Amino acid sequence: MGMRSHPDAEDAALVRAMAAGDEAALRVLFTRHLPWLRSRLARRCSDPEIVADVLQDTFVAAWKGARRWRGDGEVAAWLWGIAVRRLVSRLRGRSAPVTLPTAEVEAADERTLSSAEELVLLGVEHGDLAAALRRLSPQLRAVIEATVLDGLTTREAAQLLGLAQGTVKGRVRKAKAQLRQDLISYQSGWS
Amino acid sequence: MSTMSWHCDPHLLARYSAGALDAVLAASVEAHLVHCTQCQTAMAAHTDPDESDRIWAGVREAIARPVLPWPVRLLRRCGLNDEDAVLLSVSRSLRGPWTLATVVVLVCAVWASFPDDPRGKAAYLLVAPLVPVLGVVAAFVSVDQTAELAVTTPYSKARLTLLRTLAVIVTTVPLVVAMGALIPGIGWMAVTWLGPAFGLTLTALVGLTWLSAEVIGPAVLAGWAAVVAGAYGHDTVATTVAAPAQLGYLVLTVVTAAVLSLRIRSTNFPGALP
Ligand SMILES: [Zn+2]
Repeated sequence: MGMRSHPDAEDAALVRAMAAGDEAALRVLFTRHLPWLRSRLARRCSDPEIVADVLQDTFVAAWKGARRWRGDGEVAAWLWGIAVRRLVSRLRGRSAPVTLPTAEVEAADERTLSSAEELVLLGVEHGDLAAALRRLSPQLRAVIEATVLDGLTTREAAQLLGLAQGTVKGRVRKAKAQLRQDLISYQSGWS
Repeated sequence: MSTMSWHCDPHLLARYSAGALDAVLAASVEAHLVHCTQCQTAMAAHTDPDESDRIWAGVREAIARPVLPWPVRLLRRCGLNDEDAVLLSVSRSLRGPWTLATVVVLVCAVWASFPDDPRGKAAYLLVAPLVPVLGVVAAFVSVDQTAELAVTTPYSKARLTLLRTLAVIVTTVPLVVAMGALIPGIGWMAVTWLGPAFGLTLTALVGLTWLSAEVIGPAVLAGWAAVVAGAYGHDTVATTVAAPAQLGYLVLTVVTAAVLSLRIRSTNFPGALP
């Protein structure tokens, strides 16, 4: 397939080449996606060795699963789905979470903040959801992040955060109620 | 997506990778990163190239490795280390006991399900607990094969045997339980045979620390056959897995496990001496 000469190939083309056994395609995909996957995992697990193991497993799984990739949706989202589930299974059985995403590390620079929020967060154009999320307690925000943003099931989120499933369910309910209260005038679709 | 008009500036990405953004802003950056090739590429500036190389080396090694047999993969998931997994997977003895168990247990389980024939239940109770025992003995015999010893250190034979035992139990026990549970008429016997199975397997292992597999295999088989035949003679096959007997197996399991751990720690375990 000669992916070495096509470092700009689209992700989907790379995965198709991987399914045909092209290791060079995996290398290109690895180089492109490792950095952000690493940072995103590191925000959910403070042990760099676990993060490195999970990254390795993720690309091995992507290589083996390339044939099964259906081609609908983005490769990056597919990779993240693999990575976060590998992390969850790696953390299974731990009584305490390795880390919780830290809140309010730094008061964000308002200019960057608004540009990022405007375009990005959950596809919601106005900054009020972000503001509402910011008003949630760190515990409630962590379950919203795991279930809504990371797309984990209640069970997986519980494993990731080192909580009981019932606790996660309760916090999701509470967080949604609080967000609904906050966003009531915007008629947002949280239900 | 090159059509996007907004991108994370380098300063934002730097703070994101340093974990210096608040949760909401970090989530925003993540939501953008998953869709944006340009920003994904920019993240490379915040990654240690040595670490990336190490991970890549691990990936390459893993995809070059042959696929492990499923019992070994299952054990790996339960915490078996890589070295032991490779050791186990080079052994040829895993498939044999499993196939044997499938055929024999299936025949006995079907027979046991005939309500009017007590011989079926007796046969099931005779065979099911012996499946792991014979699997272990077979695994032990095959350890002597030089082809396999070539990859091990002199003192790893004891360890290999225990690993094999584990592999045999992982492959045979769920199978026998599942068959018993699927075939109607067997009832609690689908599970209660585990009592004698553990007792007998550990007895065989302890016996193997003194005597050869050629002696221990038939001895354990004969012993258990005598127990089942005796009960069958008195029309009380079910008592071999009833509560008082289970207590006996539990005691047997605990005692033999204790003896085995003592024997392994001493140099008496076969293969422990170079
Ligand atoms: Zn971008």
